[in-house]
Amino acid sequence: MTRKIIVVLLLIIFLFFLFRLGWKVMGLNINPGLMETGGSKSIETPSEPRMEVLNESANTGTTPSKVGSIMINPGGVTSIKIESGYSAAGE
Amino acid sequence: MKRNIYNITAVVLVILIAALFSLDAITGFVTLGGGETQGSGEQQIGNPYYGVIKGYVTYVLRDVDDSIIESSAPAESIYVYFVPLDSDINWSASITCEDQIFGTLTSVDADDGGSACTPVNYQTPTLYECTGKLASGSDVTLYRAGTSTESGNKGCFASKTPIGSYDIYV
Repeated sequence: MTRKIIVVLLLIIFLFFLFRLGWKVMGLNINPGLMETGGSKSIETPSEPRMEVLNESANTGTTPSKVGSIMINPGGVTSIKIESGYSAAGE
Repeated sequence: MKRNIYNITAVVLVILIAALFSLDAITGFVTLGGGETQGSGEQQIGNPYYGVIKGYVTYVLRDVDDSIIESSAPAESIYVYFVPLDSDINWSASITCEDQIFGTLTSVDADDGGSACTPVNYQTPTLYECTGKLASGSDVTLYRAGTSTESGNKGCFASKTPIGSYDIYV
């Protein structure tokens, strides 16, 4: 009885192994926000797709002003929106 | 005898599973026979040295309550600088941008389906490597992208950029 249980457990582990192996070989590394196709063999490194609105810049027109910070991920795409301008109050 | 088979099978499975989780990137299979040449085909992985930053710049006018009362795209191409995090750049000192980051980015929608940008090719070089000065006087490497002035893409940009953390200056 114990042996049967062990055999069943090993079989389940083996099937799980085959499933994960097939998953990787078919390129199905699912990353947040990304769509992968099963027909390719591509592997994308994790990225953080997002449209981040950066802070308004009090740009004087003479020297660049800092509008925010960003991290560039290997093989990934990062989206930003930059708003730059002056206050109507003339600040 | 049977117990030995069970033990060996269990050990082999544990090794296989451990290998599966430790190996990061199996991209395909190839079988080599004795004395044969076997092409492995194209194996693609994400670029470990570069990523892409894309987006667009909008000029805004704000009311006294901080609400945006007017926004428009830049009429001319403007520079977007990517500076190593927390670097105190001396913007009054000269910045030389001679080295190019090669690579054309094809069919990139810089605003992810918004109305500001349309999918276009951003031709190489999409980024320049520049040398500037810190406030302390030492040299610093920074990067410079330029926005597009094409109709339907004014203010939009996309650049192949070395991985890392940057402050963005416009």
